Formats: sequence, structure tokens, C-alpha cells
Amino acid sequence: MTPILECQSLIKRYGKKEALSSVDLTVNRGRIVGLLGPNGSGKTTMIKIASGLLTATEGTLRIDGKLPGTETKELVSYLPDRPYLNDWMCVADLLSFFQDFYRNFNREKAVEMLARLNIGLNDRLKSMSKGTKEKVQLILVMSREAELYLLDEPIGGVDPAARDYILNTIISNYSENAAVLISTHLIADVERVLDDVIFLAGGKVALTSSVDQIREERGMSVDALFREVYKC
Amino acid sequence: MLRKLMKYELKATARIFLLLYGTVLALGLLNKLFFMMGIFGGNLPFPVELTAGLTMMMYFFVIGAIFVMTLIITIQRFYKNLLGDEGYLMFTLPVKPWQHIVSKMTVAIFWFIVSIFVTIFSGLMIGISFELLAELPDIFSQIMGEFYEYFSFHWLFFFLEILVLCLAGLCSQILMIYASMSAGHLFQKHRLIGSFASFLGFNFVMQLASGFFFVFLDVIGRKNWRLFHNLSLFEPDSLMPLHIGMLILIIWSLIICTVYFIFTNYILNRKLNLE
Amino acid sequence: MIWDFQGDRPIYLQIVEQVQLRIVSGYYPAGSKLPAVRDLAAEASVNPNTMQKALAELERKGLVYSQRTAGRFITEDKSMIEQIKQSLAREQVDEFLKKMQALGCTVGEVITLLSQMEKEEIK
Repeated sequence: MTPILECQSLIKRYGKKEALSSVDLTVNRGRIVGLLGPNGSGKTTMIKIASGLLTATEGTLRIDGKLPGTETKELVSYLPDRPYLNDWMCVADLLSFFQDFYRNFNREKAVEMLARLNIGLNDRLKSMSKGTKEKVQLILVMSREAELYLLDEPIGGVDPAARDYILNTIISNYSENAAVLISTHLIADVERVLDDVIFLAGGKVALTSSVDQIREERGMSVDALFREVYKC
Repeated sequence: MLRKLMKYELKATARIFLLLYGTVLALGLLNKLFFMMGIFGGNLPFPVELTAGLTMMMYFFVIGAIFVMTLIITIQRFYKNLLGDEGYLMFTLPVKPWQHIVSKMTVAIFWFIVSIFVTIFSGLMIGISFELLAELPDIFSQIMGEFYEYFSFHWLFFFLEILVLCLAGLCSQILMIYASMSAGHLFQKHRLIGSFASFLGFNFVMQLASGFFFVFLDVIGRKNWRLFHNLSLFEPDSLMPLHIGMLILIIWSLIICTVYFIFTNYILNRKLNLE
Repeated sequence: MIWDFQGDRPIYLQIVEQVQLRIVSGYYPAGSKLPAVRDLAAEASVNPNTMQKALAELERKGLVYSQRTAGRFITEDKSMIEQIKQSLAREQVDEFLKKMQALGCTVGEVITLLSQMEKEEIK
């Protein structure tokens, strides 16, 4: 089966600065993968290339065997690290927007998840707290029956209760046909949700492994290993 | 998809325009009332006259605002909705970049045309009586009819050509703005300044190109003067030269549109760098 | 019962241990049906693949069996459960004795201490 995400000697330069230098990696369907690394290690760049917001300088990135484009955008559900929704819209507008543009958007699922958080369909984005906005974004993104979920720092800067909510949402949406790529530097929090981890350092892949393998072979948690690898 | 994009583009911009149109029509109506009170008679108390004067000023101010806003929103919708944070949503939709450009441009043109009509309508509302206003469509068709009889088909055609030229010109202006912002977004830093500089650059190049183009046409025309002459296009009284001139202008505008469109589309397609 | 995981060992092994504990203690009675993998994963906040792996391990041990359509059940073999209970208890006692040894207590002293405590508790 074609891997859902595959990079071959992927390079991204901003001017002279190399954000990604020759990255090779593969993500298979049915896996929840952590893209781990400190700030500036290339996590966001990587995810943005996969979602089609950045263009690679050299090398290729393929999604289900296809280069990023209109076709792959149908397969990829992307959660950016910032608010990106039009704030003049209310929740119902957003639902219609997603339904209009994404064939795989499951409106009932979104409505149910919103109801569980007591977010009204007529609530305006403008009047929501930052945390609620982030949850609305997550709900919209996770309500798509996509094949690759790209979540950029989904738990950065949220309180522990919200963090648990986000992780549980990811777990309960698990599908054997889809892969989830979560970028974060808060490893202890996501560790038990992950199958595999990819460590990025300075735009290079420093390590790829399964979580079990790290624990079995090294007798330490991924978090502990991370601290060792990235010791300042 | 294009239709859906336009739907949301209209929705996103409608609030502000409808508000402005409402204001201008309300102010027009107010002015009309003051006129009916005989404000120029000089026999009304000063505060009323002052209010009337201010209302008139406000009216012109809001009309100015409508056209400034049309320009600002054209810029802002492209810069913020596509190249800003909202671009994270727009560019992850399964939609082709050209569809974004076309939808944004169409809606911008739509508002520009509606703004013109609203302005004309509000002006007429002030200037003429309500009875006359009701008869306006009749009067218009009458004028057109006489126009046609008097000037013949050629003039009507000429009128049409001017309309098309205006539209093509408007498109090329909008696309130039889009192209400038796309070029500006290629810069690592100072993207706003980059956009402005690109705009000036495009303007300069376009002036130069236009200059060359028309000099080139002139040379061709002079060289082949006899040929054109023999084609007997230029009968005395013939309006053919006028049509040919208009056609050339229209084609030139369309060429400019195409260049800017292709440039903008290329950048959004191949060089997108949202940060 | 709360799921609780340590950082130094694979999570699926810890799930196996904790499910065993739940079976032995009667939290999951013999012959009862286990929740679906997805629900168990959500409850423990772990990856569904990890939960799947742990249940497969429990199946291999014979503590859990699956019926193709009905789902997974706890074994009805009470003697097996008893056996596991014994071995778990033995492990705990072993560890306890090791600690007592480190304190300098012999097994005999520990037994005396235990029976003394038992008497005090009865009072």
C-alpha cells in the first residue's frame, strides 16, 4: 500500500537559511505519529509543505503518491498553529463552509462534538475565548473523514483539561485508514497517544522509532529520550 | 467550486457595502427633504441651514468613501484572506488558485459597478422629483431610441465598446494590484513595502510597454498606409477607424490582464509561501 | 479503577498488567464482556493500536478470548484466574520481603510482625 505521506530528500530554504535539509520519511496509514523537536527544528515547515501552504525548494513530498495539489487537499485535514477562521462567521456558517468545500466533512459528527462542549451554532467566533476558538477549529478539522490529519502544535498553550479533551478527540477519531501527524514539543503529554515518533533537529531527521521500541530498548520514556537528545 | 467561492466572497464583503449604500441613500433622501423644504430660499432658520449643509457634505463624503472602500476591500480581501492567516484556510481548500483569483476579482468588479449605480441613483434622487424618478426607465429607453436613430448603429456599437474597454481596464487594474501583492509576498521581510514597490514597478513597466506597443502600431500603420487605404476601410464618414482604434485598446487591455493573471496564478500555484 | 502508566516500560505491557489486576480483583468478572478497543483506548487515553496490542497479548496468555462478532470476553476459567492471582501475590510478597531484608529483618521476624499486627487489628 502506498504510504499516506512520503518525503524524499526534501529541502526547504528561506533565502540562505535551510529550514529542512534533505528529509526522508514515511508515514503509514493507521498510525498516530509524533513529529517532535524544539522550536525552529522544521516541524511547521514540514507540515505546511504537506498541506500545500509552502512549496518545497528541492526534493519531493507525496501524499498517497501524489504531489501536493487540489487532489491531496481533499485527503488532508490540517490544523494550523494559529487561528485561521474568518471571525465574522458564526459556528453554523463555518459548518456550511466546510460542508460546501469538503466532500468528506461529517456535519453530524461536528454538531455532536460542539453540543458536547455547549458551543451554540449561533455563537460568533468574534465573541469566543481563545480556548473555545481553538476547540472549534479542532472539531472542524477532526470532523472531516480525511486520510491524513496534520495537527500543528494542537496542545501548545492550552490548559490541562483542554489538552485531555484534544487528545481524547484524536483517539476517539482513530481510523485504520487514516494517519495522524502531531507536531509538538510537549512530549510527555502526547506520548501515550503515539505509535511512532520522528525527531527533527535543525531541519534533519534525528531519529524515527516506535514508542514501544524506545521504551523497550532504552528503558526510558520518549520524553526522557527527547531531553537527552536535545540537551542544551 | 467557483460559485461557492464567490458566494462566500460576496457574503464576506456584503455587510460593509450594504451599510455604505444604506448610508448614502439615507443621506440622499435627507438632502432631498431639505431641498423640498426650500433650503435655497434663504428664509429658513440658521440651524436648519447648517444641518442641511452638513448633510450635503456628509453625502459627498460617503460617496467618496464608497469608492475608496471598494479599492481598500479589493486589496484587503486578497492580502488578508489569501496571503494572511486566513489563507491557511483558503489554500487548504480543494480549490485551484485561479478560482480564488477569479472569484475575488468578479466580486470586486460587481461591487464597483453596484457602487456606480447606487451613486447615480442617489444623485438622481436628490436632483429630480419623485414623479420623474418613477418615469426614469421610460425616459432612458426614449433617449437610447433617439440616440440610435440619430447616430445610427455605429454609435451604439461605439458605446458598447467603451463599456467593454472600461471593464477590461478595471480588470487589468485589479489584476495589477493582485500581481503586486503576490510579488510582494515573495519577499522574506517587509512584504507590504515589497507589494508597494512591485506596484510601482509594474506601473512603470506597463507604461513603457504601452509606449512601445503604440509606437509599434504607429510604425506599422505608416508603413502599410497604402494597404489600409486600398482596403477602402476609410471611406469619408466611415467610423471604421474609430472601431479599429477601440478594438486595439480593448485587445491591449486584455493582453495586460492575461499577463497579470498568469503571473499571479503562477505565484499562488508554485511559489506560495505563507508564514 | 484508574489507568496509570510509568515512563520506563512499554505502555502495552503496563496495560496487560493492569487488566490482569482488574480481572483478579473481580473488577472485570470472569466470563464478562470487555468494552470495545476504541472505548478502552479512550478510557485509558492511549493509542488504539497500543490497546489492541495489549489485548492480543492477553489473548495469547489465555486470559481473554474473542468471539468473532460478539467481541472480547474475560476467560471463564476460574482456576486460571486464581493461578494468576497467586503469582501476582507472590511477586508482591517477594518484593516486600526484599525491602524488609534491606531493613535487616529476617523472614521469621517479618512473620512475627505480621501476626502481631493481625492481632492488633482484630482488637
